[in-house]
Amino acid sequence: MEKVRILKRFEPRKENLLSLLHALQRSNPQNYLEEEDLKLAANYLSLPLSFVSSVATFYSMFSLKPRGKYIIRICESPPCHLVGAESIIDTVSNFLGIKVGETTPDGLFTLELSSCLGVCGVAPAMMVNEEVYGNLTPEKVRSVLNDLRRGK
Amino acid sequence: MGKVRLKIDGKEIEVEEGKTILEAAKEAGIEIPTLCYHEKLLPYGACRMCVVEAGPGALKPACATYVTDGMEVKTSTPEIQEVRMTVLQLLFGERNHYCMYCESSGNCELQDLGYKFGLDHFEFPPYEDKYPVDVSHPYILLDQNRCVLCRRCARACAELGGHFVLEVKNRGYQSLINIDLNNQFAQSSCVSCGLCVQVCPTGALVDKRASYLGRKEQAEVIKTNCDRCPVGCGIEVYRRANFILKVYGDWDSPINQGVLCKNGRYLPLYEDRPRLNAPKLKEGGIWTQISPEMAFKVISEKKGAATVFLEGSLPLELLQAFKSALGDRVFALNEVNPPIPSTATLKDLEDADTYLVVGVDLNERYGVVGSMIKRRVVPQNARLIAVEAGSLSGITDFSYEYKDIDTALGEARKGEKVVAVYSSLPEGISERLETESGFKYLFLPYEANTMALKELGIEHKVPQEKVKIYVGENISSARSPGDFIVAFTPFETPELKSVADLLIPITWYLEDEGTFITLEGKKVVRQRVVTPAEGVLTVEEISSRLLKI
Ligand code: SF4
Ligand code: SF4
Ligand code: SF4
Repeated sequence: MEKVRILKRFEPRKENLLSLLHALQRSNPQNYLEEEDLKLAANYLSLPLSFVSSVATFYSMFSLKPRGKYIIRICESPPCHLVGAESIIDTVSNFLGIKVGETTPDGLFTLELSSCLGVCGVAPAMMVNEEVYGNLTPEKVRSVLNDLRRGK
Repeated sequence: MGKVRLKIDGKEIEVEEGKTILEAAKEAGIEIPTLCYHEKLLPYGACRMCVVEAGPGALKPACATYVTDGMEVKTSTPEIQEVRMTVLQLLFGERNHYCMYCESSGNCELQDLGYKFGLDHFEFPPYEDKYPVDVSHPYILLDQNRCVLCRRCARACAELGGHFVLEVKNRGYQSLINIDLNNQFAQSSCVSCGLCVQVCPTGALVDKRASYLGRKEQAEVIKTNCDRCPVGCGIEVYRRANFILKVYGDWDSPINQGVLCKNGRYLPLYEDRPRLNAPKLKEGGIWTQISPEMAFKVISEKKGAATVFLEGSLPLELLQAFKSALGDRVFALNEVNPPIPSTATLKDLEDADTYLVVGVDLNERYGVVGSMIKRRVVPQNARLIAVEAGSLSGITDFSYEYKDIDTALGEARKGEKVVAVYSSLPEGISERLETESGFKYLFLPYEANTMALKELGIEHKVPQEKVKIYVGENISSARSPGDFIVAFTPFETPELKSVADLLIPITWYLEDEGTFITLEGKKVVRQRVVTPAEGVLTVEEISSRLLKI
């Protein structure tokens, strides 16, 4: 099964927990970790289930709930905040009709907040999956989302 | 170890290298307030109550900062006290700490700190969010609204118990105690050792049975030893009037250092078999209550033909009494001899690199031995080779059936310090196991006082005689026509009543003082903590009556 192949890419050492969880999450079209994944990881690395689940719930990059194909992470650190991150959040939220932490019913977008993305020079900024977008304005955000929606 | 010189509050002191500021201060008689700190657990630094000034930079947690040569520490400047007060205000404000409804009020370390710092109002708006309460556990209640996230429970569960059931999930103010994979207690891998309750400083984890029955200062705490198995753990029994509130592990005990198991902490307090409170004789199928004199008269009449079968759960004194009264017609009801004699002590478990556990589930029996092994195996400081070891096999990759004993032995031999742990062994297995010259052997005696039977030279024998006298708490017997069956027992179960002719009530658990010989051969004394009900015969009474038959 595919998940077993993912496990086998890692040495069964506990240092590999984070990378393993990321790989398992990425392999899921709904971008989240299922209970089954946590059990697999715990078993494979000989770690207590309680430990694996505490790690998976501590880091905001992991989700235990199904998420959209595109995960939008808007930076909420001070530099972005000062130049209008708030209105970017509102724009995305209104445009998609979801609140922070929610996923659109079509399963396309999930809206999350993030701490500093390290691109303060182009604040306000957001990340969609692995892609970073800077110098955001409400118009720019809408066009990015429209493009994604049309599968561009 | 070298020595380190430092100054705490202007006082010159010298301590061992590797001590924390908190420990050094304690040695110097300087008290620093703490909350998440626990003497038996590794430093954690979660609560920040113990902050001190130690060199430039931010205040440091005294519990988790190690002393260095020439260090100058200040423990209670006005600035420090203010920071501590703020920490305390935050702790009180975050969740529900309205003490008057809390089980732990009067026995809570958070509340104690509140009094100590003269906290008389909430500085921050008090809690709004409601957190989950888990009542599913048979013995424990978890109210996350009272939790201060000190993580003592999770640390004790892992570091001392070796169970690794509890952890903290989420982060920040959303943090919660997590049980396995977000489970309810009842559906979790919790083995009910109760350590988490014992270390929780607040009312977040409470003992269900003892709840609202009395605070610590209303109870007397009696130190004694557990008689539920041959480990013989040190316990602290909380007694109020003639009632046992709860049993805690004795942190000072050289045997278990505070750790207990379900059998020692909870099960005896939940015992529900009906007690026998007076001798009873069955004649023509009808049970009648009789006097102790009558009962012993019957025994003395049957004496010539009677054979005695003693359980290994009984105190040494009672075993001795039967042995001196009936001499060579006294036998052990259950097996006595080890398949392989012990060569190891519990101390050997501390630094072994391989445990070979054969035929016994240490989550169910001898739980504290289980903890000693699990707390080293799970963090991968030692390997566990489990052969038919029940639920214990869940924590190891090396799990075998009896038929694979040779593979298991081969795996075990890779270790340098190997301890084999077992109780009874099936035929063929002990022969395979006993020839390992490099192993140490730790035999777990079958019953709490098997070792006393052994010391008295009482051998096991299968009961076949016509007139049998059984002594113990778990007696079952077959019956053939013409048999006469006597039972000295604390419980009158329907099964026993259906086969016995005469029942004589004896004391049980903490109702009587008695000596037990532990698996290491140490003599420990179980104290009398509660007075037995009237009509129940004590060890002393039985002994003196036996002398006269
Ligand atoms: S009772 Fe023991 S095993 Fe269960 S959660 Fe508490 S410490 Fe862990
Ligand atoms: S439940 Fe008790 S011991 Fe555990 S973190 Fe909360 S307050 Fe601390
Ligand atoms: S290990 Fe044995 S002696 Fe220790 S608490 Fe459990 S039952 Fe009692």
